[in-house]
Amino acid sequence: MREAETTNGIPPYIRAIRSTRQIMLMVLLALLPAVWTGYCHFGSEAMYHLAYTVVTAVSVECVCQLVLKRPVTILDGSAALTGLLLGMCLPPAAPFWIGPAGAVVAIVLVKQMYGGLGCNFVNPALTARALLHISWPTQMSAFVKPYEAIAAVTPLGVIADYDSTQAVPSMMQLFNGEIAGCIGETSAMALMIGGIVLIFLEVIDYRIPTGIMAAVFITASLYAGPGSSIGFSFNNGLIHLLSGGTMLAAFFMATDYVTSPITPKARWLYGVSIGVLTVIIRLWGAYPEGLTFAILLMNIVAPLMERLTFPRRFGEVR
Amino acid sequence: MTGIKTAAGSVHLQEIGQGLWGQNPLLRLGLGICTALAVSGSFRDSCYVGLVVTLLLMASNTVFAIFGGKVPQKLGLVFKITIIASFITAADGIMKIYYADIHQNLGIYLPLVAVNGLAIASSDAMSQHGSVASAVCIGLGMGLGYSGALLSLAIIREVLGTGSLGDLPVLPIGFSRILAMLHPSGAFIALGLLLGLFSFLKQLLSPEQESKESQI
Repeated sequence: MREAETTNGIPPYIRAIRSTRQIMLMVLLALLPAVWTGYCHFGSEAMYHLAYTVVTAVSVECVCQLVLKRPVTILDGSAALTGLLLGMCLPPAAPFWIGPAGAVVAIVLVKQMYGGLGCNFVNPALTARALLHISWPTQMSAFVKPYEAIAAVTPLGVIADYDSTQAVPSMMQLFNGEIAGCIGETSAMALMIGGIVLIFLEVIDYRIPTGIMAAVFITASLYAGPGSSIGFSFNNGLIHLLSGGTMLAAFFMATDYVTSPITPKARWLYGVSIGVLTVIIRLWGAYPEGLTFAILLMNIVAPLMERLTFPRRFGEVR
Repeated sequence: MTGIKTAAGSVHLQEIGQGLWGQNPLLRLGLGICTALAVSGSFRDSCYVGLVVTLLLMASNTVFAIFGGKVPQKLGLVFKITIIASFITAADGIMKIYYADIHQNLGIYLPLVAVNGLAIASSDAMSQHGSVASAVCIGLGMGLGYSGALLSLAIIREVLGTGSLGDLPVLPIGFSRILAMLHPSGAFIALGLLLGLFSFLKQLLSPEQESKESQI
């Protein structure tokens, strides 16, 4: 102990004002509006999903840390946040075990096996989501209409299938989240409120969400429909921006500290690449929602982007 | 090999055991991963690949033990690859004729065994002037080690991915099969977990040997 006081520890020496716990708590609070709209639209069943997933994530983290003889850090809120984010991208009518199964994957495979908080190279919640999608495609698309338990197709599903019999919901419905979709992803308004508060509190950087949203909007606008020439469709851009997981992922998932780049230029590049890739996967890929895969791919590329944009020391030649 | 004179039989057993455990090609040396990831989605295909690889290693090691000394040092690698590729091409042709459906499933991954380091490593494991018997034993050990690892990977993936092993139902009917296990992503996850488990077991059983190895 005395030694630690007299010698310098491991750099960096500048301490952040906020602790991990405070940051996680702020993000959790910022997600509350979206959780609330999820409750309003999909009822208490949706809340059970969130509860199961969060409780599993936290308890699995506890067990993992005890088994691996690491300090138990479940109170820092990071496991709870992972669980909540994963729960929010589950469809409301999914079987009850799907969230806990995903939480085990997220915490054990992605987080603890790579060394715990800060050591994972991809986002745990998103990896779990991708695996759930690949493993149980039917269960993971059990979407229902808001306010009533009738099976429905999400707006992105309608677009992906070019199904002209199904109407794409109006912009107002998209904005409020009165559409079929995942528990916490539907309401663009609620997610924007939380995200903008986080940006003003300087918890997350504005560059990543702005980059993603701008890129999604512009790329989707340029694509008018199958077979048509390149035009500009304001409507298409807005639909892609407001539907699916764009808002949730742009504000809360892509901005994960561990897996996003740190230099400002790299953050722009990271955000824009995610946006463009998302629309490409949505329009031409096998899955209607491409955001998960776009972010995971860019998580892996993030260290390279950092290296590319790292400021040079004066006089240094590359 | 200490100064104590051991019976020839136990030396051969040791050589086989080395390939199974200490020098396991897939789980210890990380060889033949490409083929293992590709074919381990099906237990039946894995059985055939394991059999072919074991026979290949035994055959090629025999040839190396007999002719290896007569080949100039410079041409050593060329010689080895030629022999290995010949054997694997023969195996590929035989499978194409007699087991056409399995050959269809395996596709490129059977001929691909020729270019991965598995057979080269197994030939490097034997000493310069070793007997034919010891060469065959090393090949057998490595082949069995590879097959064992491949089959355990295949069992994990097929049981979790389809709920049954071949035609034999293993998991209860209510179980929702994990489709990802049949995808390449599941192959990587299962292999990673198996590698971790193997290292853990090895450390558990012989901790002092492990620490010595890590020092080297």
